[in-house]
Amino acid sequence: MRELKALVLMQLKDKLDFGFAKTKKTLIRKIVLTVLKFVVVAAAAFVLRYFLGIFMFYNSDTPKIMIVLVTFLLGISCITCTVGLVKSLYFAEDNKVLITMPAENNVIFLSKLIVYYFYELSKEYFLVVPVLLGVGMNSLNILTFWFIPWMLFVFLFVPAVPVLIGALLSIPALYIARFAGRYPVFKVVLFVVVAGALVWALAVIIGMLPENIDLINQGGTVLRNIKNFLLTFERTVVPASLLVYLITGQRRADLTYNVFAGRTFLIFAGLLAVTAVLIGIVFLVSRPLFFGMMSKSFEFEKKSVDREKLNRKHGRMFAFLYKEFKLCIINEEVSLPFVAVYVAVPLLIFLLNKLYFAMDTRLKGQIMTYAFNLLIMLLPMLAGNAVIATLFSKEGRAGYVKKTKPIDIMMPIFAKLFFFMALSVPSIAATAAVFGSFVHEVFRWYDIALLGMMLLLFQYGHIMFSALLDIMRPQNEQYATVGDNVQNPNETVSTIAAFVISALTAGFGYVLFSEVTLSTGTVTLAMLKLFGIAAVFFVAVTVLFVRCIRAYYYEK
Amino acid sequence: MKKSVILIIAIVYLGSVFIVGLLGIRMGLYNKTVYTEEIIYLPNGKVDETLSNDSREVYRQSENGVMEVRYKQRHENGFDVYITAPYENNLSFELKFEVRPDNVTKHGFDYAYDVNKTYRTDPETGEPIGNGNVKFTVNVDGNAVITFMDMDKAEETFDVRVTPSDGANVNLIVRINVKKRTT
Repeated sequence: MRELKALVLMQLKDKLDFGFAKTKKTLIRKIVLTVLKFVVVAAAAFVLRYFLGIFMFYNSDTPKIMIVLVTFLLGISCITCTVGLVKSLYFAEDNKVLITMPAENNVIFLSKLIVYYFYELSKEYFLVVPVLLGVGMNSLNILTFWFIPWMLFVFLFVPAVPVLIGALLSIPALYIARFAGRYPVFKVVLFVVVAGALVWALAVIIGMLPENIDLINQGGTVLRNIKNFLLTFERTVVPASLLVYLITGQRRADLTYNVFAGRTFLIFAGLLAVTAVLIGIVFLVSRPLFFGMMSKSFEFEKKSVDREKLNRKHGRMFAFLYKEFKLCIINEEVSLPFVAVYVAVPLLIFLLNKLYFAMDTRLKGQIMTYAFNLLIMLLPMLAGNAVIATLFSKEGRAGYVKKTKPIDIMMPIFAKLFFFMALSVPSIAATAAVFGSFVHEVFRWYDIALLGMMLLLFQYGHIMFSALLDIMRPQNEQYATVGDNVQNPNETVSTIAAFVISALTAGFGYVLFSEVTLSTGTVTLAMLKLFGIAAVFFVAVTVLFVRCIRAYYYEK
Repeated sequence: MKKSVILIIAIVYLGSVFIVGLLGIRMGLYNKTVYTEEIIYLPNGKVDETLSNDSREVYRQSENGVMEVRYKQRHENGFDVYITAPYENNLSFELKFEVRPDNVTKHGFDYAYDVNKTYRTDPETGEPIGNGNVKFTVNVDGNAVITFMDMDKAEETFDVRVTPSDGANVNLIVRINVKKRTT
């Protein structure tokens, strides 16, 4: 037990940054920020549910909405836990140390799971719990106050389920990862299959769209369909329904909920039983494989060179670009999400405009659609750049070597960003073309070209901004010791910046389109102004980037 | 991308559709009344291509010699549909109509005709009133049935003006001409 506690604390210290506890000031700041984060998420969920309540839902629908949210969020948790545990259990850097510890394999395995449980617990307490709390607070007249402390208690146990499911699924996932590592074509085929499935799903959705969408006149039908969907969902996804009724309690005849009903405790006992069974299966199936797999990942990783290659001499810039290109291909954890976002954005814009064009919009509505198009084009693209805010830190301790290279530091830094910048060009061109195909009566070809360049400038500016965050506030030590599951503050700042930039651009876009469309009937002036804003942003970030990098690497 | 980010993007995406759907939609009347724009006579016979031309469509019923002519423009004598038939005792016509557009709010027709030509009875005594020999009734589906009874004249012409019940300013005039056979 002491061994387990020592191992867990040791790993927790690395995984969750407790640096804030060193001084009273940082501790208070951390507590305030943590509470603020919780309150902001809960308030956002509360406001959203409140507005939905005005248009669509009764208080009695709240548990059904919670079921959909729980399914979505815990479903994603299972996927992230699987991916995370593959890395944490079998590929983490600290395995090399843990394996030498005077502790049994069981204890090491258990310590890894417990650490991951705490990590998942912290994530769920800052997303799933405040979201459910915000939604539930709207219906406190039917859900009693006791549902809040009861939910906080229940969610001490809930994160164990996705972690244990993830631990089970991590075994086939590891085999798939190893197979894909051995046969890189498999990754490409898998990606193409997934992308093809997405396109197919999109085609099916578009085929299902009605020719005329009129939410006001068809409101009754839409609402009825949504409620039928919620009802079917509740009946179909039984585990999520049971979990939500465990939190809210059981419904009485007067439609209020009783948290402390006998059935609630029965479901709670069921949750504990499921957790126990999962622990048993994980120990029976996963644990025997763990030690072998864990050691395999680094002890037998080194392959003998099959064929020797001539050490060709390249130019400096080309050498760096070539190296980064190879890393980009090899490291699909970074490149694949990027490619996925770049593929998804034109598809999202296509579907969005199909929906908009099924509506009989007035001029104000048309301008709204242009502004929302800007928002949806920028938001996923820029939010995807959060990966850039981890790119340099993920080099771990090797990152420090950059300082010693006898070259202009801009060269390796730009080489690292080059492929992400280059990859975004076809995606932005496709996005602008898709948008242009819907609005060709209002937007001329040069307006669409301006739109494409504007998106590109925002994208490049944000990529550099994210890279700058990472370089100026490096997290190399975290990645060197923990692996990929680091709560990187730079990632958060980059994501917030993505939201702010997208929202402001859409807001400006709405105002500018409103002004010029009413006065001139064309959007060229608005597009020029938006392009100007993007150019100013790009130039400002570039200047900041160059100056900060020079100051950081060449301080005197 | 973190799941919170995916969730927010999904909410923004759906939210944008709802906002445009609720606030950006073209203003229109909720449950607006759709009025009749046109009344069309539905013939009972088969089209006669030899007699039809650009200005009229002719339909014939071979079994009783009824001919229905549907004019595309109102005829100079003031009717849109002209029906002729040889007289037989209790000769009946069912006049069927439909309206355009299909989604009119209030369906149904009002009929106007010369009551002096119709066969009527005193509601109290049940005795016939006047010399009229045309019996005019309206079915439950709103269509009219005209019956020519005990005609003592050689020829009878009966005009019916059909207007929609929704008060729209459109009408259709049907003229029915019945002649006794000459021996």
